[in-house]
Amino acid sequence: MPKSRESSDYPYIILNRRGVLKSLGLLGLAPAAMALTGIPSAAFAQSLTKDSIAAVTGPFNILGSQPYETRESWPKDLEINWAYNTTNEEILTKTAQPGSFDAVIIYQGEIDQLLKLDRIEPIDVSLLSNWNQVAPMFRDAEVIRRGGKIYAVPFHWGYGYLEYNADKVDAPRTYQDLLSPKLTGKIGMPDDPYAVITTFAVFAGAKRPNNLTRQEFDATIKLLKSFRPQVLTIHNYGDEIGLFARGDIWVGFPEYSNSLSKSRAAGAKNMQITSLAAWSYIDCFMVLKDAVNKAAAYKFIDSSLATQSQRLSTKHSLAFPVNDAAIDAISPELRYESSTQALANAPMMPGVTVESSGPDVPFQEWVQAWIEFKAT
Amino acid sequence: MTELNESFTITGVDGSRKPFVTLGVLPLLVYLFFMLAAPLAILVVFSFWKADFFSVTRTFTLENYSRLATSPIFVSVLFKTLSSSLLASCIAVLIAYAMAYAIVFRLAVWGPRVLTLVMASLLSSYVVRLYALTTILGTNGILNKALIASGLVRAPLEFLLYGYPAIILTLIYVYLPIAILPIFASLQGIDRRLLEASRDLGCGPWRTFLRITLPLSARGLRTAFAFCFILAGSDYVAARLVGGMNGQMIGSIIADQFGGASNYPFGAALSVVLVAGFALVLSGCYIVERATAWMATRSFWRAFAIGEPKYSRLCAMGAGVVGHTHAIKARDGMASLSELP
Repeated sequence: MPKSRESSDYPYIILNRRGVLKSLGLLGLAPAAMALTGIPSAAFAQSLTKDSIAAVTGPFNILGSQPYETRESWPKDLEINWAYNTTNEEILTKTAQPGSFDAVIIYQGEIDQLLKLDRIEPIDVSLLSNWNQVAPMFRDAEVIRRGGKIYAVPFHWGYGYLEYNADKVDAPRTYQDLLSPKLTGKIGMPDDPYAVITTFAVFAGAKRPNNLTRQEFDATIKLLKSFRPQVLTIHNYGDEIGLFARGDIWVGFPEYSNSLSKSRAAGAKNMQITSLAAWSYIDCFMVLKDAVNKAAAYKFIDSSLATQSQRLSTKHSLAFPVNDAAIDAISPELRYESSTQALANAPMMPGVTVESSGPDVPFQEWVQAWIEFKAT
Repeated sequence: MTELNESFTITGVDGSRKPFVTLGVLPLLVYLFFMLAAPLAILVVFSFWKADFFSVTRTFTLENYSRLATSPIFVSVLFKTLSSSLLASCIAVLIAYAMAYAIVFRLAVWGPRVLTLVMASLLSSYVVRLYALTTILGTNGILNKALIASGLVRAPLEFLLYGYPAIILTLIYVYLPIAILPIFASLQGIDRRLLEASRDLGCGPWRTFLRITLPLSARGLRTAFAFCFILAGSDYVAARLVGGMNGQMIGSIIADQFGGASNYPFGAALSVVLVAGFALVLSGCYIVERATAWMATRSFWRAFAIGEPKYSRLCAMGAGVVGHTHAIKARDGMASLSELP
């Protein structure tokens, strides 16, 4: 007599649709539950070594600006997903969801903000084979450290320069030159509270333009407001190229790295730059605390510091390399002999505090003041 | 006829059909709840919370609304946004009506072709169209170069871009195709026999337009206006690209609050006030429309409507989008003039 299917000793596996869906659902819920309860998954628990970093494969999610997306130099064994940020502050909003990204590229001034939000962690540079190829002045810079720990690995650097159309105006040498009636409604500024307020703090004579006391901050904002008639428009980074090419603006500041070459290429042939009120920044890699593939982040960072990668990303982004061996890749009109010489004209800024209890005006107030300035 | 109406009524309220009707509406209700009511409710809740450093503290406060109310900057930007979108929508709807009317009634076989051309502009990206506009209107743009080359002007016209007129012009340019569609649909649906009957009964073109075409296309007109007004009022990219230092709209401030400033509660409060502003303006339009309809039922209006053609003609010339209201005023004016010795 044949055994029925209901018999307990009958080796019959029932694989129905509901069962499969239930199993898959549980599989999907497990990591989510682990993330919610704080139980570390395998990816979080891994301890990194140079060997594990070299062997890592799989997806790597990075958030950075588009010019740095140099696919030719990427490690071939990583599945790299590059998401863009168009403003500095987007880094804070786009990393709000834990696990969304493994690393970000942003200027060093964002360290305090990301630390305050508990989003980044110290980087063990001993795991980076190419760390020593970074020029000492960037490698040893205080601005990438907090409490003696390195939170940001320098990738590229640059300085905010004043760009002007030499066919229309003489080189502005002082702030007063920018107030010339000829320039009324002929100046453009980027939509970047950090960059613009820092520049106006320099104009206002602040000794530490990123660390403004209440009095200095008020004086800076007052100066900025008085400058408003000179400004035609506040643009996104990249839009100044069209503005210069169409002749809508004759002066723009602070502009960065690729603006000069691209404006000339777009038709504004006689664009020139001055270092009036210039200051420097370092665009850095930062590793997120809740990165899913931390080893991949280290692998990508290490690869990006190699001379060949730095040459490629310098050519692509027109930003300056932190590896001096790649200086020859800088566009001729901006090329310098050494980083030390180039940095002499544009001091490095540490970034703006986010602590509201200290003597300095916190960054949150910078942003609100900027929004109100734009809306006035 | 009565029987037909009765049978229709009975069928319409037939209890056995009700569950099907309810079930049919259910997906729409679910969609509206999750896509409209719930997000709006979340915004309202957020607007009463406090902002911390890139986070939200769930403590009830009216701080966001009091900040908004006491800040002349935000109030003026809100007013600027609503007024510019109102102006742009009115102009866009007027132009759209004329274009849709021409497509339906005047252009014959060319009508569908023109409509296709209008719709083709929607196939390109909105941002691309905006950048194209800056290339046309810029200081060294195509328009200025053409004007200089033709000798009409000596120097580039700089007011074409970066200012309030540029914002209005751009909003009209961007939302005109969207306004044409509903008006076209409503005009297309008008039974031509009504227009013929109107003319057969002695009405001229203007009177036929005011008494037949305009009322029958009012729904399309209303939809077009609502689309344009809401889209233009919440648009901030266009104003930002072409408005220069005047280009800050409330949408831009909201985007900044949800972006760089990460002050979600204040951004939510601004959003709630903007939605309320939309509701207020659209309600105002609805009230005007209802009042006009009510006035149309009054005896003096009816008397006017069948009155002397010369009065109607004169009144029609002064009629706008809601032509009835203007016509009543004009008619009253005429009546008082006729009473003079």
